[in-house]
Amino acid sequence: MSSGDRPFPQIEGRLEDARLLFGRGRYVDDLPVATGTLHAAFARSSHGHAKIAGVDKSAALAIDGVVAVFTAADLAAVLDPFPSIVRGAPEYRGIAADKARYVGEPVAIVLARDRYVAEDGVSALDIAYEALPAVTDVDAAAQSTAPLLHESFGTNVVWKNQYRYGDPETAFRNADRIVGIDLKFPKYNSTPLETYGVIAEYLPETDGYVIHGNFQGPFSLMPVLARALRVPDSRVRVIVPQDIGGSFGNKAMVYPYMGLIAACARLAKRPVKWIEDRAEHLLGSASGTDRNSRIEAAISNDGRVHAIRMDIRENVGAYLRAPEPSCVMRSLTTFSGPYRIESGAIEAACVLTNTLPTGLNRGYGGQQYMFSLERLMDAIARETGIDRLDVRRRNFLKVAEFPYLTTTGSYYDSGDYENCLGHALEHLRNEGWERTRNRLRAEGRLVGIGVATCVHSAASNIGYVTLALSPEERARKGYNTKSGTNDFAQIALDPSGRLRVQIGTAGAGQGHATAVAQIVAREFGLGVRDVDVIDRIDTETTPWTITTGTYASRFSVVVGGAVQRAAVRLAGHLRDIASYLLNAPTDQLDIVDGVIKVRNSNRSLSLRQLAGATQWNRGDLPDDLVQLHVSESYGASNLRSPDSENRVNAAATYGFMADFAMVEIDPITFVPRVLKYIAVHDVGVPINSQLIRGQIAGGIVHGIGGALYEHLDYDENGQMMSASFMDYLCPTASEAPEMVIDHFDTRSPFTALGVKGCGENSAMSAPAAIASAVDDALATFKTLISELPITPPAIWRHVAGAQ
Amino acid sequence: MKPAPFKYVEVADEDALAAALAEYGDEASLLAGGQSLVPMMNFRVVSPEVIIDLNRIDALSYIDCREDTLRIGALTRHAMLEDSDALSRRCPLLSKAVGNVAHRAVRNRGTTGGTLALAYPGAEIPLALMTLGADIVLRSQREERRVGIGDFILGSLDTALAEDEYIRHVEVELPPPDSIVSFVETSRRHGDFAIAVAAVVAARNDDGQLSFLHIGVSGGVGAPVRVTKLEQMIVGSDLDDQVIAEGIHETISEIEVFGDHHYPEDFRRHVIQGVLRRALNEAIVGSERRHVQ
Repeated sequence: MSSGDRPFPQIEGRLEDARLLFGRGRYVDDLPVATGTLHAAFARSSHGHAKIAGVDKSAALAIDGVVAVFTAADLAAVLDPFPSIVRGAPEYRGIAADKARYVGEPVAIVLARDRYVAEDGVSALDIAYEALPAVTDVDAAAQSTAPLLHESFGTNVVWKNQYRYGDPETAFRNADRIVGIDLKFPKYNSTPLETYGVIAEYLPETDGYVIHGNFQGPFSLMPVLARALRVPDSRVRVIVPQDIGGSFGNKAMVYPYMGLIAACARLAKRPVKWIEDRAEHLLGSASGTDRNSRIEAAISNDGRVHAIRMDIRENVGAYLRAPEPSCVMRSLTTFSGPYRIESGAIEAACVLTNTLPTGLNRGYGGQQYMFSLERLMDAIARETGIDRLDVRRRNFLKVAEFPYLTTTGSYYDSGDYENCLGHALEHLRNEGWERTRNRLRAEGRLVGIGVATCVHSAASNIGYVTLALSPEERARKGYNTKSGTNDFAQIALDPSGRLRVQIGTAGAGQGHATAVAQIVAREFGLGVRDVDVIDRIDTETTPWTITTGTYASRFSVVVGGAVQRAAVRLAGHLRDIASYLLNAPTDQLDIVDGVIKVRNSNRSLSLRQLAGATQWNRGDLPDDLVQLHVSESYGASNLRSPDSENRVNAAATYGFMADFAMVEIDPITFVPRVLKYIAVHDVGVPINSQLIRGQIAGGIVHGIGGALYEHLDYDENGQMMSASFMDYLCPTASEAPEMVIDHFDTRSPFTALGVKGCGENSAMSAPAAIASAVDDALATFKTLISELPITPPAIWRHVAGAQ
Repeated sequence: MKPAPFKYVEVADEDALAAALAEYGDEASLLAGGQSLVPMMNFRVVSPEVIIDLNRIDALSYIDCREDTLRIGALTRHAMLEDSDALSRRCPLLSKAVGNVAHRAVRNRGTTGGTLALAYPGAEIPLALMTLGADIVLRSQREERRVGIGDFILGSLDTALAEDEYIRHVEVELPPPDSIVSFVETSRRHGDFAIAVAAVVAARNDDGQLSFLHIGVSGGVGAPVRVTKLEQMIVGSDLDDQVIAEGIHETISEIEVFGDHHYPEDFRRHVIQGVLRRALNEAIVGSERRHVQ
């Protein structure tokens, strides 16, 4: 049996747990700092939109312990704007210069001997604001009469583009019916336990920087940082600490702060440390986008969808900062979801408003789009009278169609949507959901069941970012084409015979080390704890690519693939050496339980003996044998750059999710509660069910947060109405439902391990499933929930409006 | 989120506390549980120049259940109320109310005096005390005085506590021993501040008539409201559902309700009526059942 067919060895718990659970994690705040390190605190705008007439530093500088106060003008001596993906986009410096454009925007940085004194300095700054009218609604901001965030740019519509696939015009002309809905998806966040942290130092001897930061990647943002700091890429050394306390995309956007703090260190000629506090994080880190959209389907009477028309207005906040406008790309490249929709016309615009600028947020355009598509499927069911599940089944791709090339160029590797949904339905029946719903309804309670079926793209192709440009721009001479996703892994047999793997994932607690140990252990017939894994990034010494990082659920596909390759190659070298030492052909050698055995013989060598021979007695071995250290890279297959029709394979793999939610709404207070949730997902090949289960449970609760509770809510003046955990409501354990999590996997033919990524999962599908359940609960009122979060006042308005 | 510099004074007994308050008065804040004060200081929403820490004054932490009254020391932790069997037997409204205060970790530190002095709108313990009827005993170096709770809580975050005064204890009028209580709160998540909350205590006389009825509501109304008008309408009546519903609607329409960005006024008013209906129904049905037994 080839190792590829053996199951992965498992352990209870994770290798990381002992360290993390006993308080021995090493986060950025735990790092020792050089004597003389200064501590930074930010003065942040209290206005949504205002001219900054002046910053009087005198009182702050007079405080004992305050060493410096820097504004944009000071930092401009060493820091340029961060380059954008979109040429000519308004300048983004990470700190306000002449104008503040959102509440929480940095306006000045105080450096002091400790954080307390630094905050005293911030309180003592006298900043003169002249308030300007603000705009926070994306459609209002797109109007020509809206207050302009960047006068010289002339409009708040910072980017727009159109995409056409197949023949949507004909499909709409010939449709039996057109079903359309308008939707609003809200602005919210992930809320990692650990906030941003940066420790930076400038090295005058090399004109370079050393920056410790809990940055999760993508490392395509490294050149952006280097350009802003005015040094070559190789002169920015970024060290990601051993542990990051959660990220979920949010810590991609620590890079502007890395630039600001590094620039402060250079001007102050001392290292500078900044640990973001929770208030700052809510106001000034990054968030997902909110989106107003209209989506229409051209359907035949049997519910089959032939084309989609969609108009997206995406709120990217006060600045378009890299990697936006990538937030809309999942909505383009996988607009057909799990369905056979052969044509589409999509218009997408990114609009600036006086709100927190956006970035990666678990799902990154996935939840926004799946909400639209799945609400549309429910609307089609309602209009045609066809059952919600049947509408989906009639449109599902069938097993025999895979690998399936969508009209946008996405190449779906494998899937069995019908049976995955069937499996979820079995759970629903076994758990007696419909019986429970009927019983509760008989008691006068408002209870509903909802569904969402979604494709989960994973391991994104960096090429999709370039859909922001037109084909003509991409074809221009001098333009650097982009495509692919790849990563490195190193594996070595140390002198004592122990296997050590080195990866650089910028992981944030997902359990990467455990999964990697399992992959390697399988190759050598070892136990998981027999393998050591170092997951660390120091851009000076760790091999990395510009796609390195943990995002787009890529780890198991890309890093897993690199680890598998490295393990196989190392095993090959071991056989070569063992072949010599045991005097047997390599094809007669098996590696079992960490021992290399000659088949049908009792001749064998332990890894320890083999390592010893190679280290201590290398000279007596043939010259052409190599040392037991391997560095491998792995690039996912089928990931080309976009073509001239804007077609691109967005991701390396495509999983699937069949989710059911049961929701109850209190008929008097209208407080909604998710009672139960079923998630049956296709992850290709599971490496570790515990890890996957943890990811999906977390994704479900995160999705519940977006559907019911979490909202970065601004009033019309740009004031933040959810600036603390009193108003920004994260679901707690008490809000988590009973969950049934199961798999229905179809192996990927394209990845080294057959895996598909799974980190984002129900964070993307749950908002749609819950909206679907609320509609079912409120069926007598004929609601079609098209806006989130679904709050008690919102439900009351639906119900009161219907009565 | 670091507080501004402050002077820290720790006091070991009531005399020291009164003296410290006399000295620092308007510059000082009292630190008991700190569950509201400390976050406000960290946000720099308040920056008192002096913090007087009274956590060592054990003499102010007690629950004293008597025949008709109950005395609770100002420094009594919510958790102590929650865990008290005597309280759950003799004053179940307060027991139920305290279980709704935030989460257990907060209840381990928060105090009766603290929650009264803050008078946060929608707070559970002030509502329960207002519904039961209570006097607050205040002390300063100048004098000791007693204020009815209706005169102590003046509005949202507004009390009659003078700058040099502290709360010694609360004296609660206990309802009849066989009374039924109902405490209905609605919030977004478990442990959150209330959107609306209703408290009802009911008891019947020997003839099965509803003879004792106290009703209180809170959440978007400023100070908690004892709805005496509704009590009078219901006591001694036929307890007709329709009449009660109309009575609720009428009396709640007369109360000033404050809306905000998250919960508009009309929504709050609707929900206050809803929780009150639920609480009244529970208490009326429960008291009937109790009477029959």
